[in-house]
Amino acid sequence: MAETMLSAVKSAARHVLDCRPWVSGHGAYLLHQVSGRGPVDEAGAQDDAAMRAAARWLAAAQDSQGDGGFSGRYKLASGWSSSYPETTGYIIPTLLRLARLWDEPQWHDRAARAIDFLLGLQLPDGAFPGGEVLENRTRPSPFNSAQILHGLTHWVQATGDPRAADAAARCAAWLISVQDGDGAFRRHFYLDVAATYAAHLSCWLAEYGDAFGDGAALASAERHLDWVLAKQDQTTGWFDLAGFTKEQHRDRTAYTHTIAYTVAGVLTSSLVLKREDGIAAARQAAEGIMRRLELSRRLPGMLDWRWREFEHPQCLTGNAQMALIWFALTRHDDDWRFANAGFKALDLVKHAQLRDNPNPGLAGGIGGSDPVWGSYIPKALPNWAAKYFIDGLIAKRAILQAGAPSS
Amino acid sequence: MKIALLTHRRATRCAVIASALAERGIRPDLIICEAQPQPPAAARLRQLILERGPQALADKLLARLIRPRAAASRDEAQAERPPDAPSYAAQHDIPLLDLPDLNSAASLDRLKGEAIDLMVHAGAGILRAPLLAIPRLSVLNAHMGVLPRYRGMNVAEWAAWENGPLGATVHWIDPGIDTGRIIRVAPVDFQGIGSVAALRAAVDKAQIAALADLVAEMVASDHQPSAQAQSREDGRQYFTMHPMIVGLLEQRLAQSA
Repeated sequence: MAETMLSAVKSAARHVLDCRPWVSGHGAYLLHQVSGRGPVDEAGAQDDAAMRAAARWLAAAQDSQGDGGFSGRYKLASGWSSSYPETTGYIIPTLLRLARLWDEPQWHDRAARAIDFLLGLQLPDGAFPGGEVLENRTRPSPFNSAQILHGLTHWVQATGDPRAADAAARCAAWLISVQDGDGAFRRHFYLDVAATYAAHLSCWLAEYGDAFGDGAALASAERHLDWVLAKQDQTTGWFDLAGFTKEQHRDRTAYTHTIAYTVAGVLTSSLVLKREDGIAAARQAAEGIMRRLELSRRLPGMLDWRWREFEHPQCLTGNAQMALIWFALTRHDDDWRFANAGFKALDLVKHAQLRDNPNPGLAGGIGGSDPVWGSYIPKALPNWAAKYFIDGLIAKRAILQAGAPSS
Repeated sequence: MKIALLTHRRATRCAVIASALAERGIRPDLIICEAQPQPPAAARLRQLILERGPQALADKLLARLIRPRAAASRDEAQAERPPDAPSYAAQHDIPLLDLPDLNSAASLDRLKGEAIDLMVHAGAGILRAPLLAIPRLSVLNAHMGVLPRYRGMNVAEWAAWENGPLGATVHWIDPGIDTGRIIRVAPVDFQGIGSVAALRAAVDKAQIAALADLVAEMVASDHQPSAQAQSREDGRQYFTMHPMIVGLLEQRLAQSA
């Protein structure tokens, strides 16, 4: 018994030391994980401040690098990591939304710098490299390339930039070229495992095809949608192979991050392709996850195929991503039970955000997990959590406006 | 007919239902009180510190020390509310049975010995199948929504939000959530409802009246009324309405009144 306790104390001490509590702001951030957060802001009084703080954090993530890209994450153990092309790509639409929402050109300028960074990284065959730039600049990644395609698509729509239009066309053509005959993406995929969360790859091909009239991109997206839909458990709505690893695939578990990628991908593609079966499939999964959130009053970070908790700490980006899915379904179905769940999921992310901190790597950022030592992106604040949180809050504003009585 | 109300100690719903029955000349034979479920102490402590910091512990201790004064002010605030279950039972000389967990084997054995004909859900928690099988005529519930369409929480608000049918339902309880056989639906008119509080009050009044009327009819006839089965697919489950949607609903009701 004493040995177990000693081991637990040692482990806790090691975790604390890993997080360097002596660095500016780290001690307060660690304390915030367990104490003094105040009540959950259900009234939305802090929504604007929370969005501002997350946007400032994103700006700091870009400014921490000299190349125009966004640092992948702030690690409590070592500070800012290098630029992450994949998420830099999908942060671009967020920046454009902020520029419009606040009428502040600086966010548009930041998107322009991100575009320049990405164009410099594109490989000769049209692909973009996976991972962060310090670890890889040559190995292509279909999933990551598609997230960049999403950013390029929005940039071209906003500006008509011919360089980005050319890059997007080459990227889309490469993605189609690496798709297998059955619709799956296996070649160059993360850990060489075919996964249904690649629905969040093909949906950007659908978006691109729809925006620029590329029939091949639309057909590719539809082939992949069919492959993903065939993997759905008809009883619960779970999509098999939604996790990162072979173990997760075997156990039929996944982080809410990749579950949400899968559901969002299916829903986005289905809306573009007008596939009612796909919308119904996404709705079934989203309803199961909504039920979990409502019954547990939180969303556990990992779920199994029955939507039961597999891992307790929350995956905060997963909360925000699910909120976006629920808001999209509210718009499509006029079913406000989904918006209800989305508001609650975002409240929980807001509750985990520490806005007042002297360290720009921590102030306003969103942890990978709550508490931050959970297993998803442990002891770090990834840029995509801030991105999805901002997207979620912007979508929440629109939903509330739509629901307000007309005067 | 031996009638028992199922409730928990702090519930005021028991007194409301018992009063409505009394107006119809019916006196429950037994009030069964379940201990109110609470999260474990460690979880409550963790939540307290997470929200309010270690200072909250000191505040808690201080509050304990000055409890008599705090309790007095709380008593004043509660004077307007219906009494809780033990107080109502004492005032009306109705036997009270305290059971820590209604669904435990010991509680079930105890209840089987009571030979109850009809149980009425009056603020207790979720009831499991073995308990539902004990009374001769089963367990009645009044629900603040029109079943099968509106199951779950805050359904009066959800119905108003969706411009759906507004009303209450009296039904037999089965092991699902609001999925038991439907006996009676009492519609409520939207007309003149200008706030969420008024909405809830109108539906609550309708459900209590429908429930008490039905029990009175059953006592008179000593028979189960006819009931319509519902399937899981017939309705939707709703959850607690988020305060921001409640706020929007409040605006809509104020505008429409």
